[in-house]
Amino acid sequence: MGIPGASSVIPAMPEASAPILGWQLATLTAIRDETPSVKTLAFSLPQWAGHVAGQHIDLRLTSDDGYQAERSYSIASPSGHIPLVEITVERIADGEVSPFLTEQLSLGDTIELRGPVGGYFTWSADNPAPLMLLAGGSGIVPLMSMLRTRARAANRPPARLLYSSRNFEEIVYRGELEGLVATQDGLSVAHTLTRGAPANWNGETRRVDPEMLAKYAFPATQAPQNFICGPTAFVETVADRLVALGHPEAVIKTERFGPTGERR
Amino acid sequence: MIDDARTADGNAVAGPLSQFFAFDVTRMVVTCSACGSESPLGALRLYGDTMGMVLRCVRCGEVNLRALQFNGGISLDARGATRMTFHPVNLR
Repeated sequence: MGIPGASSVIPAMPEASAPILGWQLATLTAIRDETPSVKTLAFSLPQWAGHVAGQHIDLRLTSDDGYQAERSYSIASPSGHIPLVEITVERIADGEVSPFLTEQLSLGDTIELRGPVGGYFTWSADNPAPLMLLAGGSGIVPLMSMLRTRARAANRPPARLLYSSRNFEEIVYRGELEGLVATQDGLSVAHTLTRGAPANWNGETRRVDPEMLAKYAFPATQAPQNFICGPTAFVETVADRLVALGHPEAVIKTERFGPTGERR
Repeated sequence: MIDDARTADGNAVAGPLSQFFAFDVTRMVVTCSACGSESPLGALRLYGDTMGMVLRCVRCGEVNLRALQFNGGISLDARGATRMTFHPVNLR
């Protein structure tokens, strides 16, 4: 970024603080099935200021009677300035917006979109610290943007992903993650399944616990940057355990992502 | 009811509050008026939805911020935050 002719003494604004656009009409240009209940939607945009991995977009739906629903979704696609963003949406049967996005919205349809927004839960490839990603369920989405961004970067810090899913079929981006690991560029991925695993499964089969973190996370002595994203209980448990392992709170960034509300 | 899987913390208010502040608010450090703990706004717990958002302290549950959207406008009640601090270069 930068303004032509501006003094180089003025520190450049971080990309995450780029001016935020108002609402614009995004066009659905691609739909991809990730799992039986999860789809990736790609939207093309009239304008895009560029985004940093971990940022969000807001979607706004307006019904015929004027009722509006807004939702914030993590961007799944790698950072950059291409005016095409992908989000990955889990269909929740009782949800207000997700059934519309995953079942009714068709290619060529338009929807109101605002973004990119958010500068807290972000990672850019010029951060040389080891990158530790901890995902619970659909919390993988912003972390996948980070891994895709890393895969395109000239300098790639060592990175590890510990990804907790309920079962094998619900692992989002499973094949793509295998492909990223196969490039042998310093990324390792460990899966744990909390509600049953296939017979030939050689990953973990329990919730993330201190022993698992000791095995898969970078030790605090390597000063990693940790990103945790998933349901609230997952995020808070894992964050507390990383603190107990000696990681300063300042290098643990969290994002709670998952179904909200109470079961009645 | 169970609502959609989506962002459930202060990271979700970045868009609505972009109408209010000229900078990204999710990195702003909020000091809780009840327990004094400090947390980036993005890490606070979100209740409600983006039309009526309540952000609560992760430590003690105190309501730190309330934001209400109406007709394209937004109203912010920050009485639960003793202080809000913005460090332009920290929190990489």
